[in-house]
Amino acid sequence: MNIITIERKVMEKNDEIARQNRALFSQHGIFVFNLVSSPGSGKTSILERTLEYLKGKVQIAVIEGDVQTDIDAKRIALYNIPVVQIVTRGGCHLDAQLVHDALNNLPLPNIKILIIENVGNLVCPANYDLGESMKVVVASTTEGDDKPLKYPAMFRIASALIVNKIDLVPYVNCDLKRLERNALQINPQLKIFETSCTTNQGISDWAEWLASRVHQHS
Amino acid sequence: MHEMSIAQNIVDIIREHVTPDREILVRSIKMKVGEFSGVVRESLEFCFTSLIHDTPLKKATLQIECVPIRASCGSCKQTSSLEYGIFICPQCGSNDVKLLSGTELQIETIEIDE
Repeated sequence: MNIITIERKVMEKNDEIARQNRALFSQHGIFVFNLVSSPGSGKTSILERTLEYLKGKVQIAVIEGDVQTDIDAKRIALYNIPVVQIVTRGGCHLDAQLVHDALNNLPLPNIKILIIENVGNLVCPANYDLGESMKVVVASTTEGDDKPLKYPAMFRIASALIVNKIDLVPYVNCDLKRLERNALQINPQLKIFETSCTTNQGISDWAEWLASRVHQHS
Repeated sequence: MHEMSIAQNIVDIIREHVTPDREILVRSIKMKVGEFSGVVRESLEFCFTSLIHDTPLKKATLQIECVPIRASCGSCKQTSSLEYGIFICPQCGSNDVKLLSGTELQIETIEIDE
């Protein structure tokens, strides 16, 4: 029996391409958010409200990731910003190569913020570094207050949490304080925002913070 | 279900180390999989078996060593094992814990019958 010792990380290929993406972002001075959540938490709606708020203030581009359709890219394109749709055709997450390929279709020198909206999934995207500056996780009140405890990896790895659909709190079984306590138990460093895309509550706080990352970055 | 793409990575890495004519001789792949790696061991084994079925690698099996989650506490400076998804020091209750192990996803060795 011949034993070959290799000691190689299974994710090394993805991690290497993520490093290349990160170098490219750094070279162009682009701050990159990887937006993750379960399906239907309101990622695209948050993006729309953010783009409305930051219109003309900072150059933003978006990469949309979905299993199927370009519905989200069409919604974002209405804001006249560069947007690329990645369709994974069954794939449950974006990987660094998919993002790398998408970058060919973006005017990198003219971008200050890139937001990558990942496939709606609180499990798999946690394993795939895309080269982003930070992950932002969205949890909506309609999902209940126990999501951080059920999907700890995603909340642990994220830098910020957007609690969305706070206008629905009176109608759903979600204790906002408990949701945030659960999130902070998993990750005490989380920066937390509360938003509603219907009333626009909290959007300005989130959008200002997002824009301020760029100033700190450059 | 990202275990399928992870299983494909494993097959790709094996093929970088084993020439096509020796693939049929590969018996086991020793791996370290952390409890907090986000990978379900049974799914990974299932996906791997599905991928190598009817290929020269079909005699290979995964030998997975599960690596427990261990962390050091910034408050009491102790090192402890953590339960999955509970980031609290079992010694002093602080949440200032830093993972030391448990996120591994690595191929250690390939065993070839020759």
